[in-house]
Amino acid sequence: MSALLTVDRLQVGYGRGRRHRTVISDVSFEVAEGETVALVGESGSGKTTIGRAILGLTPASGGRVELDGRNLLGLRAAERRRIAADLQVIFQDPYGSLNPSLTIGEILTEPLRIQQRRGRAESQRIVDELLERVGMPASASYRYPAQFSGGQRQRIAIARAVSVAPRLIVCDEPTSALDVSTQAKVLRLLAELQQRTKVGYLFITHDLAVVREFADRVIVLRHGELVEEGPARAVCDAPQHPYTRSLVAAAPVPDPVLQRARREELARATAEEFDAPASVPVSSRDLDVVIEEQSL
Amino acid sequence: MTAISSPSETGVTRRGFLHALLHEPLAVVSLAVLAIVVSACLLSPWLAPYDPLAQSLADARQLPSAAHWLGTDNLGRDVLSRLMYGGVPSIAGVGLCIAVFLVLGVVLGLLAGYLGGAVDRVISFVVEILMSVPSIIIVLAVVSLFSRSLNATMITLGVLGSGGLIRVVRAATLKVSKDLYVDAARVSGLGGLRILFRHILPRLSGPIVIQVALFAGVALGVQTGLGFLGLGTPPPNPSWGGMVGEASLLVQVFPWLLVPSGGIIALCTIAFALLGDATRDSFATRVRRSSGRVPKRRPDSADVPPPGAGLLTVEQLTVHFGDPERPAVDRLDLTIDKGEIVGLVGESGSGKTVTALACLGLFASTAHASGHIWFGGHDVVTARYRELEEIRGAGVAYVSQEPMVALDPSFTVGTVLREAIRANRRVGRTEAKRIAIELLEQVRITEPSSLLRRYPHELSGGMAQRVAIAIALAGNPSLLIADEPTTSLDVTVQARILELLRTIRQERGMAIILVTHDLGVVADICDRAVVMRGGAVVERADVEELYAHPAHEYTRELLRATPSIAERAA
Amino acid sequence: MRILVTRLATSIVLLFVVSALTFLLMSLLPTDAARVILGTTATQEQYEALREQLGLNQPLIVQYGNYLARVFSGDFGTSIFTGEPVIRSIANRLPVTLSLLIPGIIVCAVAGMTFGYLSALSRGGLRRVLDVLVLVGGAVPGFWLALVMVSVFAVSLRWFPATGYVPFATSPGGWATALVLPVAALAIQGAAGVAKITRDGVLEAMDQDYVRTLRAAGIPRRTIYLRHILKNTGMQVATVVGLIFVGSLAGSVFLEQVFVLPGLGALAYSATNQNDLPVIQGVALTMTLIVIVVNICVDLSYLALNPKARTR
Repeated sequence: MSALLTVDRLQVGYGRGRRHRTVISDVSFEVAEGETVALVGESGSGKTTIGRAILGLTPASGGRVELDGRNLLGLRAAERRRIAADLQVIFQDPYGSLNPSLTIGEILTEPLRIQQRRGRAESQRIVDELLERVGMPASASYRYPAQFSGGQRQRIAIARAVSVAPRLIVCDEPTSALDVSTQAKVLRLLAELQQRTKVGYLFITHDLAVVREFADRVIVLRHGELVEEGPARAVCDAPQHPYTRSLVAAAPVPDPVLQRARREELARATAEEFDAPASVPVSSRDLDVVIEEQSL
Repeated sequence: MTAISSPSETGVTRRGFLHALLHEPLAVVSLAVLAIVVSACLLSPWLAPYDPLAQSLADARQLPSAAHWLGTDNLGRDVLSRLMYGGVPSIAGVGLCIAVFLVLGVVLGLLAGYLGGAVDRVISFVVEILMSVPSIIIVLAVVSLFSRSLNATMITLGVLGSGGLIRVVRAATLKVSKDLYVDAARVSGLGGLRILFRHILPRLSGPIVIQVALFAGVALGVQTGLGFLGLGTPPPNPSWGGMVGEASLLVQVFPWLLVPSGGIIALCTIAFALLGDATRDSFATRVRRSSGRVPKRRPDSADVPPPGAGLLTVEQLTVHFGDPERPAVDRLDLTIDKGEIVGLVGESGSGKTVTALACLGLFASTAHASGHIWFGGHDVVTARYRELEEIRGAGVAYVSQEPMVALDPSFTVGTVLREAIRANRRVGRTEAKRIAIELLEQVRITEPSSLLRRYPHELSGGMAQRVAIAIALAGNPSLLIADEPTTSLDVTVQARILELLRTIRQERGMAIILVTHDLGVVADICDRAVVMRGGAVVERADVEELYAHPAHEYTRELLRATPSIAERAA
Repeated sequence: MRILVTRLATSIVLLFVVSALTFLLMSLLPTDAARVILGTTATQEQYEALREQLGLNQPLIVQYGNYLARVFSGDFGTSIFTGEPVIRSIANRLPVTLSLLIPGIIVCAVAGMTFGYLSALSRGGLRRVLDVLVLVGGAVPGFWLALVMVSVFAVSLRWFPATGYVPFATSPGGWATALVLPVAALAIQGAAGVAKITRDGVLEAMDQDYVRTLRAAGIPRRTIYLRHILKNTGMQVATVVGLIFVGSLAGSVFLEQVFVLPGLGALAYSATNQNDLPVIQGVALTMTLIVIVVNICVDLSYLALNPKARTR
């Protein structure tokens, strides 16, 4: 498979001179057509920043990001508009990601009409189809985001993302805010859409358990650096890097007997190995916040 | 999950804004009052009963009568007619002032908030200047410069006042542009102007209306104030401020004149203020008043704890928020024994958090509770505030979901910890400090004495949660209620906090109610689990039994939906 | 600490801006100092000579430079009308205005916070009464309120003098009674604003997680309200009190008229009527200085109240 998305030695930093801080240093990976690649890490790992850099929401300070051989870094709005048909996003917070003052119909038709210059009737027809495909009634078109639950809104966000038939969707913790049963349904929907359209997912998450069940490959990040990469199952079942091992060991398993065994093993293995100073995650989490503020 | 914040404060729907505003009775009333005053003034040539300048010395200084509804002034002129004519310069002045204020404030505020960078810095500096200029002097200077031109004065006032609106619009723009949907629009390649006008501006209508309403009151005050000083409409033509001025000369002999002239100004200002309040109410999430007060229910003398009760016994607890048909908690029974860890598991809306907070006697003010929660011979549901203060801390303690907001940002860790210790134990200051250090050691904090001087914003999430647990332990409670204590933490930090809870239970024999949505966490730490849905218990069992043989279909569904990092047995 | 540095920097710029602004405004006046001094009967030659003497025929920027140089050496010029040095009239009148402003803002803050707290903690009828009082208090114009107070307390009841000012040095008692009505009239409107922000702040704070933590730890209600919530709402209140102080400069102009107090506002008013340029400039700079001092006090209160501001 040839690479759909190529991220090559991506760097993100902010500030100048002495106050320069690197947030992402030399991260490289690829996403193929129809593939789900998970970016996983704790707060401050830079996983969200990488997603935002690819989407052009945070400026990169170095490296190369290409979609189908087309450069994605430093685009202007007009160029971004041309790429937008191939690159879409689903965010974590289903409450913030839909404009509360527009109807679902207006939200969904906007990209079709503005970017693809389709007519009103045609856009509406496409929207009706989309809503059906994500399991929402067509009447949803005339209602406002506030009238839907978190899971329903996330379906609408998915409909907006797939409406322009993109090649790649950046999914930034798309299910972290949802209940587990809703999460399962949303993941199933994403998988179905991928089968049908061969869309690639860059799936940003903190939850290794979801990675293991949903992703093809996984990239583990820590403090803006890539620590481990490989097939999702292999990495989760036999992590190589000590940090990945600690992440896997810390994730509780919904099985008390198994979990007790894992816990006892963990206690033996990491008695004193891993007790990072608490100040590190705080400052690097702040980095993410600052980066977001800078980019606005 | 409860981690989701409800739609932000500016979260009004476009339709919802006007709609909601017209559903605020105060807004309707104040809009109606303003409409009546404005139209009465603008239509004064046709509506006014008398010529505002017609003198009639015979009728001077009359109190209200059928002929003169608001009486007459020193020269026998009809006060009502003068008020109607006199309103025109005020309305024109305030209108002009607001227009300038609005245009400058919205345009500069949007630019500063949306563009940021150098533009923002320059505009913010200008605002800083505008807010610090003694505007009255400038206004006085303009009055004298433009030989009492009302227009120039009101334009100046609008410019000088716009600093406040710029600041508000800038802040709101910043806040709204952080919303993810704006990012989504950018990703779609929508242009900046389209994003600004279609996606951001409509969300700002609430804050803008509030500022305009507030400033209209100020503008009216200054406009009439200048008239009062004799710097407005030259006599004998009427103006509201001028009429107050005329009345002031007659304070000793005919004070009535103060009433209509000042009254109309006050009436309009109140209408503006109410309009602002109503707008705020209609779009802000209404302030819930959780006063920590127990819902009204008289204790029944026949109510006694059941014999052989556990540490905490919940009997038929029902909580609803106004609609008894849809209770948040529905006839819940629960017993917690000494030293056990019980998981209260459920998805959002299952009532698990309401139940947990009820065990501390923490109810929202809109809550109606019935049933019993027995703890140490008290019924928490009907306990008086004094009793609750006794139970809380020393009997039942609490750790919440977001450690960073659960600690008072204005006080050091040491201050709050010492307060919590001294609220529950009779000890002096030095002794309290010693205990505080001991508690921090118990929650495995390495340098407790330096941590005592730190503020919450200087702590990491995991550290803050340890501090929150130390505060909870301060009263040496026998039951700890932990409401999703690890949900907002990283998974490695979560493992350490869960380990800490386990250790504390062992060391102190303290029981823990762990509220969570995460079946992994339940499997890790709980002895028993209670699965809730829609306010009711669907299943309760020892954890090993629950996971091996879930009896209820909903439990099975939850287990199936929960992803696992390791291959499960079946 | 950065907050104070920024504040000082803006303050200096602000002084320049205000001085330049007033200077520019005054230069736009259809008449100038020479004309005011000479009146309308003087000949063109006399007028030109005086302009020469006053430096009025130099370019505006030079005039402004000269003006600044004089101001820096403490010379605000002399009143065109009375010939009195501006600095001396200001020095005479500043104590009067401060006797009005400072007690006014103290009453406003204390009464406002008390009302705000009462409203937040009460419920039902009492709360509604308080809210209506706050609404009406905030809406009635100060100068009108002052007149009503004069008519009730001075004219009818004769409790206080209707007008006039007694210097503190002459008679502390007389000073106090003369100021009761003006201070009350000045404070009421501001107090309503403070009450509102306090009430909203307290209600908002009561819903915060940290208050729940404190309650759950068994910390007494009194401590939570009077220590934790008070400090946490302090910044909002301090901001509003600062803004109200700046706003009450305007109020003092009107009130000094009503109560015939010989303060800065009255000076500004008469100078405006007489186009007395140097006086207006002097008053503008003095008032700007007052605003700057107030803003610095507000910043200091941020530092005291907010630990995050300290570390920044």
